[in-house]
Amino acid sequence: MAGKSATPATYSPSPTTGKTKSTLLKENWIRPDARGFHQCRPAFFRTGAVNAASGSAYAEFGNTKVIVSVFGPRESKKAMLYSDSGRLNCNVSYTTFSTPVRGQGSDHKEYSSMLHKALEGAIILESFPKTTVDVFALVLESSGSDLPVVISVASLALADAGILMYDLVAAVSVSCIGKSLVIDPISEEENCQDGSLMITCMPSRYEITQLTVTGEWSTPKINEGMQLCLDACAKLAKIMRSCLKESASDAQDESS
Amino acid sequence: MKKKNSKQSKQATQPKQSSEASQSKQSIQSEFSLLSIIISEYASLQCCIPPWRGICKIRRDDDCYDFAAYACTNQLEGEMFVEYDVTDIEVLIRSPSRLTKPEPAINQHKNKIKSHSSKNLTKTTEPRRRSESRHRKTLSSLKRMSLPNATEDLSSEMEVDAFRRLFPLRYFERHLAESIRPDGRPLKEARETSIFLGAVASANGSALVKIGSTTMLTAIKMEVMTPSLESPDEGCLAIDFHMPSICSPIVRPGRPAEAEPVLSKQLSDTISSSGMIDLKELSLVGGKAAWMAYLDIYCLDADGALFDAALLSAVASLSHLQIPAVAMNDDGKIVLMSEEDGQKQTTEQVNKEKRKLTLKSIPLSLTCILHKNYILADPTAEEESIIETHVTIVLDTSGQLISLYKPGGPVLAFTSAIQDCVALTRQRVKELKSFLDQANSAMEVE
Repeated sequence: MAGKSATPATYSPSPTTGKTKSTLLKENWIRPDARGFHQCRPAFFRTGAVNAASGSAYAEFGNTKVIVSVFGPRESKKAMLYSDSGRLNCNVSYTTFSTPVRGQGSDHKEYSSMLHKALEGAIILESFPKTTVDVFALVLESSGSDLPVVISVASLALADAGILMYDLVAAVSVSCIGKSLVIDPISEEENCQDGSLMITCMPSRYEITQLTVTGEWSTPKINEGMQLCLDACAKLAKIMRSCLKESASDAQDESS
Repeated sequence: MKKKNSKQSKQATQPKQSSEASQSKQSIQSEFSLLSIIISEYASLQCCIPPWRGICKIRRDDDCYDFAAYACTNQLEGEMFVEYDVTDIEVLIRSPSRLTKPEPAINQHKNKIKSHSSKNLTKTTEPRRRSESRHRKTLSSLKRMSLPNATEDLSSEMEVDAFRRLFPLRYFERHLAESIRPDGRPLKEARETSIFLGAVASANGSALVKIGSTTMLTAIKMEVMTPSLESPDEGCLAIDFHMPSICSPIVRPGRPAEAEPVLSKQLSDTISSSGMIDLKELSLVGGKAAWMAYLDIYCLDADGALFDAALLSAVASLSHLQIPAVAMNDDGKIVLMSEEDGQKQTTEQVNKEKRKLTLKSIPLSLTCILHKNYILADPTAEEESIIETHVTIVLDTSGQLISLYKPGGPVLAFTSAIQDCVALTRQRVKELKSFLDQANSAMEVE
């Protein structure tokens, strides 16, 4: 803390979320934001959010707000050995005010490595030998499905930076709550989920770069969940593509 | 380029070159061959070559690309050998012909800025070719790339860019002589500024501020603490400035930027010494509970004048801050009052209504950079990197001086220069205050 040697212990006056669990477990529950079970939040994308970066993108999925900057390809760290193919370096961090109760705003190591693995397969690493591309994500506000949003935005930022890729990477998750599957869950739903499934894929190639399943799933549920995710990914990729086209045509208008 | 392993050839030509150099001592800039200038400039650009040696040791790939780009665009004549050894690349250069140094026509460049077209930017360099007899081998591959009639527009465009990268100070001074800045602004004008309040939904107060492309996002979260014994009826304001790695290519994860703690301290000093906030207003129950306001500033895009933008966003978020209505429950804990269960519980209301802080005086600032006799307001990151003398002046809205920072730098700040900066800041503070009022009134309408 700036200017304070000993920070007194503080607490947030907002009540702890305990009651939501029970309301979500009722028979005919509706989602807290009144969406349908198979309906995603409205997605908003914009490229070129950070001028200092080679490429960047910003996205809002409901109240989840993420900004991603891409730097490079630039010189690899001195300690790195020679490599014929390029390197990808990912980092995901949170702001202190991203969560309802103020956090530490530290790096999220697990998400960093998952982001790396989700993108690695989509990038043509051979196109920038010896150098490194840095993908840095900052979650400005977190309200559920953070990782899928970060992955989608990161692939958009990579495209904005002109890094060669096989396809855009779109990511969507579903949560299993009781008997129902809900797509693109918000934090409250994630907190009381029985299982979660996330797919990151390249829709035009119909290839999956990452698939994570946690919790309790039956085989038909997994099939249903995967189909839901793949459909949503294809739609998401369309929105991302149109965002890229828009910014490209804007750039053309300016130059002409 | 040609690979060569022996270094003998360079020694053959060096005596001649140095005699040439001594002849033209008086008019170094115009008479030295262009290459010598490049090489000596390279020496100053942290490349480990002594000036005027003819060997350029290139340590990083970037250096090599810069050099090659420059060589191409200026149609260097002579031979170029690239020697590979295990670690470094050495470039051995012999330049038998003399060329004039590049003269980017500043007027043309100015036109370019105004008209946003690159067509005015025709050839800015006229290489004069002399001593043709010594012109034995040319950089065949490099030269072919830059044949004048091949891609006229592109090569001249590259020239300005290369000049900008290689001689940043000279590039900058050419502009200053014409009273214009590389981004087309007059010297004393600040960049476009915008303030958006309430950007973070989950915070008690927040603001998004843009000055040019420098972007700051600030949010305040209110928490409850037990006040200290010395000041039982006062709350606390903790200001933290963050530079996440997304904001600039210089910041890497795990290695926080140097500016982070420096700016945090400057900001909290400025805000506490300005008397903007009465900490007694943050008290809840004397001696038992008080507000701790965590003010976190995130730099989302760093393009110079970080302090100004950070201070503006901190001030804006404080003007947007709403202290929530809270009550004390039976355990002596402070809890939020929600509409439905506020009445039925037997809690003691501490803060009945949402309220705003009264801001007494509002500190606002302007950073200027000083170079020779020039004063430039609101520098970009590029300008800050070239010129090291910064003066930051903080005034409150009544024009009172709150603080002044001049952290080192080679230019002495004379009284007159400081006075000029204060006058500029006074104007800017008025401008910023009106932006802030506009943003606040826009919030009230909503």
